[in-house]
Amino acid sequence: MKILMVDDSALDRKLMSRILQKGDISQEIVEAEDGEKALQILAEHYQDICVVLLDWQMPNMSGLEVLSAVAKVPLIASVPIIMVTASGSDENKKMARDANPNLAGYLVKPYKAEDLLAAIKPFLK
Amino acid sequence: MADEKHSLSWSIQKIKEAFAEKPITPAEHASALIDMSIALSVAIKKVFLKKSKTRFSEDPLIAKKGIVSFSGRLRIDAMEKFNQTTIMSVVHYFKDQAHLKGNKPAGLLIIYLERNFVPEMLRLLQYPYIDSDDDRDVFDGSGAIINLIAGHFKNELKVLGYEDLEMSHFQSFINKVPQGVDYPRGQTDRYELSFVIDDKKRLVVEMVMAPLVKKQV
Repeated sequence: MKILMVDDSALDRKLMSRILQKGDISQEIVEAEDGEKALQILAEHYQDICVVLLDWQMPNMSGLEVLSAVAKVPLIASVPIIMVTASGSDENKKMARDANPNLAGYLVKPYKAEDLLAAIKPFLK
Repeated sequence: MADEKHSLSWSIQKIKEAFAEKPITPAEHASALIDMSIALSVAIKKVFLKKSKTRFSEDPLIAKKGIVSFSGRLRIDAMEKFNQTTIMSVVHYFKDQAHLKGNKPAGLLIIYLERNFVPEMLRLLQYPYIDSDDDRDVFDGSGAIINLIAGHFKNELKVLGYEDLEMSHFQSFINKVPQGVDYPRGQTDRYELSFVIDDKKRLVVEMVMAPLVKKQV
């Protein structure tokens, strides 16, 4: 199974990859730089994705739009998604949960390495 | 009966007026901008303390400056900030999703970093190493920093009682942006915060904000 990492910042993706690597996470990492690409990957490879790490502010399609789109497609709605964003207000968290009630977690940047690892470990297959 | 109806509609009108958004006066906005600039300073300190325990040498220098606009867009020029190649990143704020889609900003933040200092700034925040000669790396690195600052500033605005704002994704530039960037219509002032790390000016952040409505209690 693979981890899908969605963030327009290559550096943020690199940071997450390094944390996962140091945390002995052996799952293959698939990267997407915006929401559109993420949806495309999910549509084609949802059976191979064990968890999605999703940024909020991205060009073309935001993380919130991805959450909402995923919730409407039963085939991919069960893929666990964890928001990883600099927007940490209660309103943002509520908006994300309203967009997708199956939201699996919410991490606020800058996060601690151990918090990222703890958030994804329950979903690793 | 007619009197009762009239009385009821009069009461409803009064209630509507009581809850209507009152226009924010220029004096109130000027005062709010000072509070916002302090909130921005708090947000920046929190970002660096949370991840790196970095201490700034002193409190930031906060300066109010006029906006220079060209063809209705905010002109940005880094030359006055550092005497070196400078990377700038911009994030816009919007009242809601509709304003974001309609590109009607309620505010913006701009960060200025010396190009050569971007890798060190990222190291302080525990990001992986980047190559300061690689444009994509420094654009991305500066973008990651403004993203953190903008998210925390948004939270600090909420602490001041303002409605939650939507944030754009970042844009990064080198030295100047000849075509300028969008800014809230009618604003004339920008607030500049300069931070010193190890006795050298290392981070400059500019803020332009339109009058924001506070939450009804």
